[in-house]
Amino acid sequence: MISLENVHKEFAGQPAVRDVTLEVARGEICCLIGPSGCGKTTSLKMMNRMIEPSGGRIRVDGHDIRGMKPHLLRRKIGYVIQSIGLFPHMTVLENICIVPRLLKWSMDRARRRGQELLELFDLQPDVFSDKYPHELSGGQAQRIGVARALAADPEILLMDEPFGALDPLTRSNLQVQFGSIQAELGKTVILVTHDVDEAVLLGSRIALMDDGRLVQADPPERMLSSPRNDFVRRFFGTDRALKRLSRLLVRDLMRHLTELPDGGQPDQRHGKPGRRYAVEEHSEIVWQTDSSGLLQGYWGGCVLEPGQPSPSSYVPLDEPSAYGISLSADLRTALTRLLEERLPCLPVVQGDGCLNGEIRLKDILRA
Amino acid sequence: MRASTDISKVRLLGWLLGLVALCCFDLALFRENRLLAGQGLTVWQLPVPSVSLMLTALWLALLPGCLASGRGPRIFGLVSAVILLPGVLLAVGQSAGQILQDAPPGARVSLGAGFWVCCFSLLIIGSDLCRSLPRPWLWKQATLAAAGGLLAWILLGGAVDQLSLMIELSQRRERFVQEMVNHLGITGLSVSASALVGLPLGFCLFRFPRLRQKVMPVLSSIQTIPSLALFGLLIAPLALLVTHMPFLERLGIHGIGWAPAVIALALYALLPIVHNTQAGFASVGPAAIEAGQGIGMNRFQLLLFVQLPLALPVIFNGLRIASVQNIGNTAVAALIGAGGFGAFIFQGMGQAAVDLILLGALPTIGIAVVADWIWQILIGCFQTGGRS
Repeated sequence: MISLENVHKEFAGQPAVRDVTLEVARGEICCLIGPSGCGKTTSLKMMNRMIEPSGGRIRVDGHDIRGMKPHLLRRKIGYVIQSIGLFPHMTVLENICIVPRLLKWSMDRARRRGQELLELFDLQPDVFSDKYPHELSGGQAQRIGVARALAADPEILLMDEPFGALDPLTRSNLQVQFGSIQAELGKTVILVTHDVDEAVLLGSRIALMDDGRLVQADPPERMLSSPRNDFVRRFFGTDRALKRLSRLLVRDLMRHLTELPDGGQPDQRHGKPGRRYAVEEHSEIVWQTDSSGLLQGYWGGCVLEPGQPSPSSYVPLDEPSAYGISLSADLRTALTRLLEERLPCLPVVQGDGCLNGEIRLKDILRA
Repeated sequence: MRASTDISKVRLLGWLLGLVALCCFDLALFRENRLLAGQGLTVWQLPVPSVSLMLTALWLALLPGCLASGRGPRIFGLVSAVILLPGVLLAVGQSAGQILQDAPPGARVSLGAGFWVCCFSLLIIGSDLCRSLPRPWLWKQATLAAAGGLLAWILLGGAVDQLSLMIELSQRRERFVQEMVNHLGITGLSVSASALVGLPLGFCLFRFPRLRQKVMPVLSSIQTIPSLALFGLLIAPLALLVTHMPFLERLGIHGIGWAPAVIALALYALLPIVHNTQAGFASVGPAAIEAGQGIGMNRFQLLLFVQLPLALPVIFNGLRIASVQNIGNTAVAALIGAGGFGAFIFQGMGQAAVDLILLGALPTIGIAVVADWIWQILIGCFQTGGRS
């Protein structure tokens, strides 16, 4: 979708971007990251000709952007900046509708599109349409900024530290919201950030820059598991293993359970109704569910050999749904739970609370 | 606790000043004829005692509005102030009629120092009260409109026709209208001419900052030349120009008269207009500009949709300053034969006729206040919703 070939930029003889080659595919979120002054923002701004490169070639959708009028090119590319830059003399709706209006959409169509976008960002149109930017909170303003960039439905979205000026709570809320909206819309996004966690959370690919050069561009897992050099390793920090875990989901590492045959029941003496599940017959832990599969409790420390009396005891759970961990939770969360509660494993449950599998500390440590 | 912090010293001081002026200073001056020194009349010496009592009572009623912290009393105070201002004028004007009935013909009654101090203190109280209310901008406009309307009604309705000022007016009604047209014409023409040059120049200075260091000092130094000197300086070159190009004379251009006045006043107006135009464009936030460019506006669209609307309040403010400043300076232009209300002022000074001076000075002030008011409303309109 966007390709940079040997792109070079000098400011007054001082190189800012050196020989960067990068290809961003359709639907990707590519996070440009690096220390300040590394050339990430300059690289971004060259993509919509806010800055003209000194050398190299940039293509958008296969076309060399030097052949397009800058303002026409920019109308096809959404642009979000850290300072948001909402026009203070226009209402929220007028701000969002500005690109459609520049593209000569009818007033009606532009308004409908604006209200659609407000709804997409969880801002009630009848409350927010006629507000002015100075009446908005930072988080609301930035959502309007992103909505404005999306107004004419561009294929590409360029974002320059879009969540940088927000407080941590608003920022993480907005990151999650943006992630899900992006998953729905499937835009090609180039996002400049200096926040490693943001890049790891949102990026389908991370491009790390240093001193104008592109050091490594890979999916986050690879960046974290096989950093190309010391700089990458240092940049992602000593907790990069943990960061990597936050990219992996419980479902990827979960072990499947099999229902134990009646004969394998550790203690028919208790005569507990329902079903029992375990990873294998010799598991230390056996999960107890009711007949519909809802988690009820577990049998601890049992050695399940046919015929042998079991030393295990049954532990009922007060809040089984809170005890289990969700399929879609990330491994960092799972690890935290396991360490906090000093457990060797946790049951994995679906959204409806039905037992689905088991996640083991040993497996996470090996991941 | 709250009440004590809410008492405005400004209002209290204004009220006390007005009280002293009302009770101790001369509200009116009685003269045997228009040039003689007058005999002062305090509020107690007015011919109708009930009028004196009513004025004093109204002034005392203003006190709670000046002291109180609640919204109700403050609004009440504002309303009483708006009524009092024309009320004092009406009282003096009606009294003048009474006094003159038994006086020799040619006797005059003028407004005294007490009247003017009362007006001044009412102005202070009114503006401070407006500022203390929620939505001060609206209150200010409403107060101005109400007070202005009442004053106009009293002045035009003939209720104060016996005052010396109004007698001076009635003796030269046609000339008054003529000089008003002159005054407005010279001011309007000079400000428009200045805007025609100053707005593009201001934009150029914004675009080319290096030019700014060269042009702004020139404009500032023009401001330092006294207006009278600048009028004088223009007489000779204009006269020379007219002798060489006779067709200019047919357009009404001479070395003296309105032409040098308009040129000089336009030069004076240039500084505020150019400066504010430049500053207005410079005040537009870089984020809005970058967003506009990034969104795909071309230069013209950026100017039209972003820069100009955001700069407009500041630019209009420059035009406001230029208008008010030129309305005042136009009065001086009467000295080189340009006409305008200045003609009455200088004529009155020559005759030592204070009321004739006032006949020139008061309308000049009035026009300046009205012009200022109109511009402020315009600026307010363009600011709605914009920056807080």
